[in-house]
Amino acid sequence: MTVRPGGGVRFRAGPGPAAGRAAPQPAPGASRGGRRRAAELVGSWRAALRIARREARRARGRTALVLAMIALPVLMLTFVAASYDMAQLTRQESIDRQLGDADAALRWISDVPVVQDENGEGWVARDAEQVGPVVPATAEQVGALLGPGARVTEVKRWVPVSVRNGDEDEAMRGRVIDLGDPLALSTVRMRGGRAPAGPDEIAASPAALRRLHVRVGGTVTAADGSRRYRVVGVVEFPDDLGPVLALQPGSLPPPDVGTESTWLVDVPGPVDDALIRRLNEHGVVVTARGGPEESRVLTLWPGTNSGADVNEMGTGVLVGGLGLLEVVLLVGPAFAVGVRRRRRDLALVAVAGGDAAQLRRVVLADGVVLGCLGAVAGLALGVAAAFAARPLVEQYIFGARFGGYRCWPVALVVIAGVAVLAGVLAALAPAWTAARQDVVAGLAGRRTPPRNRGRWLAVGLALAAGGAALAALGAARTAPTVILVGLILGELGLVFCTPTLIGLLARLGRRLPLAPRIALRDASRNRASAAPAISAVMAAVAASVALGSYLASETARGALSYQATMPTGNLQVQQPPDQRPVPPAVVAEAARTHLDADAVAPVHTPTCDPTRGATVICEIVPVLPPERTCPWQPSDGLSAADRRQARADPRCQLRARDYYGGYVQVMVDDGAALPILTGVAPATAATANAVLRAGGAVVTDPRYVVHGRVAVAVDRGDGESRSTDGTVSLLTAYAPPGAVGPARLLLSPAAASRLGLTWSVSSWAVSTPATPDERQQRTFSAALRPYGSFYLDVAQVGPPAEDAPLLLLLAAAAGLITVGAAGIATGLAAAEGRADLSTLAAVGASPGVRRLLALCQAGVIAGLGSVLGIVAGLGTAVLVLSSTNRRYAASWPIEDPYPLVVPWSALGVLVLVPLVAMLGAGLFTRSRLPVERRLD
Amino acid sequence: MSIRHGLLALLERGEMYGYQLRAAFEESTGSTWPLNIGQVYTTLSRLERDGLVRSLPESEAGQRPYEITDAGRADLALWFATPVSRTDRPRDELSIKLALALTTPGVDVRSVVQTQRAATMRALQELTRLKYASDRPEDLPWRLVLDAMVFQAEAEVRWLDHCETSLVRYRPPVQDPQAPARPAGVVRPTDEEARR
Amino acid sequence: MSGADDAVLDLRDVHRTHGVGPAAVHALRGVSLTVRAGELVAVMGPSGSGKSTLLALAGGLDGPTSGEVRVEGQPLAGLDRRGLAQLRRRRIGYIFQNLNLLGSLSAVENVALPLELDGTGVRRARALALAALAEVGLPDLGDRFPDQLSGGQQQRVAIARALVGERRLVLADEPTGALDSQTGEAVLHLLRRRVDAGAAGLLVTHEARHAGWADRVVFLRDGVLVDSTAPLGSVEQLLSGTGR
Repeated sequence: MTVRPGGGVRFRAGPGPAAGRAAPQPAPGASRGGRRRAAELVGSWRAALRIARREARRARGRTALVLAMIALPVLMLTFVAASYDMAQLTRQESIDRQLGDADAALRWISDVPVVQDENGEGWVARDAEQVGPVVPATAEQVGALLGPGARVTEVKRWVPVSVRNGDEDEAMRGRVIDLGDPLALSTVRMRGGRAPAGPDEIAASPAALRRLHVRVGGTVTAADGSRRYRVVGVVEFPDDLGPVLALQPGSLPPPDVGTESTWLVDVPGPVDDALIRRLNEHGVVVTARGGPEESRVLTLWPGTNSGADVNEMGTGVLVGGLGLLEVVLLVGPAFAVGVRRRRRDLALVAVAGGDAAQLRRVVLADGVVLGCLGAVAGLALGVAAAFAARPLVEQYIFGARFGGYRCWPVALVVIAGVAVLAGVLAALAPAWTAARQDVVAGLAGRRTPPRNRGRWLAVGLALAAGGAALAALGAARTAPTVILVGLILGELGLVFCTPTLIGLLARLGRRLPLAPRIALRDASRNRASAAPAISAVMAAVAASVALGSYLASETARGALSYQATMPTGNLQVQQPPDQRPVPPAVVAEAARTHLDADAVAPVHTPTCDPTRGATVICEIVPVLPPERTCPWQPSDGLSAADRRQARADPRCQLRARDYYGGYVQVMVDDGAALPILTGVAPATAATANAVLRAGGAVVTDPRYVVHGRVAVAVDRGDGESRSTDGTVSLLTAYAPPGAVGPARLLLSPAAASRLGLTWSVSSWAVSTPATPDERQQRTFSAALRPYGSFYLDVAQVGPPAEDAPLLLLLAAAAGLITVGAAGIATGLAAAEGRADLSTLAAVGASPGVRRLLALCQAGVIAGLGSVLGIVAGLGTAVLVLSSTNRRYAASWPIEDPYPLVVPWSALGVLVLVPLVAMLGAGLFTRSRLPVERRLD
Repeated sequence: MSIRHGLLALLERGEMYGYQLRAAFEESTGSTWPLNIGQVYTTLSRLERDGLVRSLPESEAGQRPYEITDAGRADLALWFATPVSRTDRPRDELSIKLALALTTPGVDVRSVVQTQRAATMRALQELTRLKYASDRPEDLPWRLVLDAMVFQAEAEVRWLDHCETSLVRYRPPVQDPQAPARPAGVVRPTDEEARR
Repeated sequence: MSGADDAVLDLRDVHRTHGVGPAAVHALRGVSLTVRAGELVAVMGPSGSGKSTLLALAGGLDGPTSGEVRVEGQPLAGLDRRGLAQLRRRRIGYIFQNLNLLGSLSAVENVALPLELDGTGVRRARALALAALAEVGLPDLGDRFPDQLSGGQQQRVAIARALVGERRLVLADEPTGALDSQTGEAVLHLLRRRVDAGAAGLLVTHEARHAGWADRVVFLRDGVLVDSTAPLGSVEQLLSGTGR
């Protein structure tokens, strides 16, 4: 039987799989032949699996490597799955958590009869009338509904509480619950201290104690300073491990409208349907024990009830597919090396009568065995880790206690299946090569030199091109799934191209010094293992560079479109509107003392004068002259032709943000705040001041000024009839050139009076010589603390840079894979090349040469992979960004295009990584050559 | 091999007289088989008697050339076609010597083996050296003769190696198990080295 | 041709023990051997007799447990691994039975390897290597890779590598092992010629026919030299019969 399909008989496009086999028996023999074939299949798989098992035991290092690479992702996924499953409460658990020892939880949600579902989660008004507002009920009222012998306690789950934390105010979650009541107490865990007994005592969750830096016995002050509470207990709410304060009823001032009450009740009889119906009659919804178990819906995060949406799922599957590809590429080299080392064994199997399929099976069995082992190890470790880490995960990730110890068998089966699949896929290419091996050469232990497979190159190039086109299409249509599919296809294409590329490079490398030359040629000769390793690096680097470029571009775009609110370093001190005003001298003094302020000016916000008409509706806006107004609105849903016309219209050259977010800030100023807010030159400020003093106005957007005048419309109404009466007045106006910040209309006091407006201080503008640092801002806030809480708005140079850590994280992940792949490939190459090293030693290579060789081998993998990855990643980024830009080029309102930005910091990391991998390989390689046995 | 067939083979090349035959013979056997001219003429006259060669008229220099007859050619062909039988060779003195040494008291067999091996090895070296010295293409017959001797010597060295290994394992039949003295014939090399 | 001064390789009472205690294996026990320039010494012995250990000691790949090894008068014990490596690439040529060539290097690159390792310029190393290849009869196969050469050709490349440059000591470990007798003969012929040109050679073999190429044959058994043949005279002496 020929083992080389290329050499002997070839069954191309035969009529079926049976055509190749001898199956000449007619009807009666057919089933027997089929049974025999089945027996053959079982037998050969049995033999293959046995060989694989032994081989795994023999090559321990390689086995450990493969196991680790398969088990690690399985471990992580299992951890997530088990934790997720533990966090998903069953109905029973969630009811127990809600009710504690109580019989039921009631919610008085309406004053009309309602019909509720079995779980007490959904309800409708029975008579489909309009449901009236919720009536705040008292315990007596609820008790009266239930009849004699019932105990009732009220719980308010979500009450916002604002308390002081040092110099700042801290908004925290509060829960109004009478922990002195055993019913209420049964829903929480007291972890120290005692239950609060009066309105001045509170208990707090451990996280809240940490957040507020207090202990049991300490005090907590309300933000407005009106009350002080003594912390007497530590309490844990199983459903919320975050910072929560447990307040006694009556601890908060009464107007707590809108916070829904739940009543925990204990009734003498059972909570049966009759009771529930009776309570429903009064508009009360009952949550009680019993009721059906919910069917499990896969949600992306516990707590959200909606199922995962298809798009997200598609993206998730594709990202998972990329991960699978990465694992396959990382594990592949190990199998390739295994096949090469067992060349002779496989040839012997062929001599013993194994056909190509059986040879393939022998290698595939490796994948099955190691995939299974890796899956089992990963599952076991993952579940164990999830169980062991449960308290930490509860506290820091889910913020709620889990229901119990369990794993999610269905998910685990899927994960294990994917792991085995990864093993088999990784063994696929080596299996194919093994089956094609020349038996005679294999028996002689000779290697058949790798042939240049033009076919694979063609497939690779076609895939890469197709993937790129698909990704571009996806980018143009804003379909992330399509983009991802395209990228994965493109990456696969590059993977197919890598072997040819290595061969090409090896041929070009003949002028190199010895060690790199050997490393390059080794990589070329051992393409089966080098190519996947390089591809693994490439895929990781490409993905991180592509994402990095995109993020960097987005950051750059954000920076381009960033509009400073004020000259850099200046700040506005805002005070919430309902607080008592601060004496201006205090602010000025504090700013001068703590911020080295040059100038401080109050900023006045105008409003309609109540003595001169209705004020419920009060809009003050400058009016853009019609000849300067763009005739289209972004919300119009313009056709392509209209959009083109709009883009060409000089009146419509505004950026998208001006349409969506832009409005003109109106303030009243006597000229003091103007230079601080806009940073105009002193001469310009003087001109503006003159205009203001003359009773005019200043507009920082010149489009509003026509012939030295601006039209200001004031609309006012009482809100009842919703009718407004508007007036438009023309004011002398000046548009100062070089004004920083959003469009502002500054009215002089005289002009404001003329328009029927009154004004009050809403903030202070402070000009500083340098941007105040955190400490200065803190001391400044502290100085103003006695007058209430304030908000500082400091003008920054650019938008806050949030992507930098993400970029570096991406680069680090890619770096880790690079180092890993290079390490694996180098280790395998070292194991392969022992004989070569012996020869080198005999010829007189110094110990350093081995290090150098290992260094170069790592360098070939990591360097080549990184370079290819960077090229592919930048290519991807250019592709996606430019197709997005092409789409933007036809859009209106005009969108800022994505600039092509090279993420240098991430690239720097990625260039460094191969060097690190090389150094590591050099350092961790024992320099002693294997034939050297000298006992020093 | 006999001189008879050697001379017949030489005459197959063409007619020759006695001195020419002797020179050609020595040349083709690499002087390993010296002949005197008397042997040549005696053999020639026997061949002529058996009708395998015939003498030709004497030349002016008084030399009588001989040529091979058809019967001679047939005899020569038969000789080339017949393998040399081992039993035709003289009795192998060496193997008999070793067998005797083993059974004769007071003889160090190992020493006999090693002495012989060194001698044979030396012969082998000499033969190899001769072969190395004659690497012209026309030396091929000579080299093949040398090769034959090389392979024989090699076989002998291998056999001696084998004997030495067998002697290491050899335990002579002991008549009296209590006897402290070893039979004198065998000295086990490992013990001897351990004593050094 | 006499005197200790021209001893290229000198082993004095060399012991080599692998392992310790009851598991210790005594590979060599008190071996003394001198190989002079222009001399080819063959070491014969069955497998496990310590032949390869002897060769490894001579090449500085292994160190003696006790005793001294000198190459060209330099005691190897005085050299660190770097120094030993330098010695190997400058002074010692190594030929193994197999696994001789680096599969990633072409024939000429394999031959040039010790020169390149020693820092010889690429061009000059290549020229020398091509000359060495011509000497072993492979002038045209320099750019082939080991996979593309027959066993005999590979072994000749290995010899060319052992001879390239100014090697004074050639160590050969069963260099004809995998070859047919004709090809093996040719390999030994090359080795002999090199030794006649002034190198010292140590040939480990278990075949008497190959040992016959040596000037002196020593027999190794269980780590001990048991006997040896006396040095041979010249060819002329042999032919005239006085050498015997």
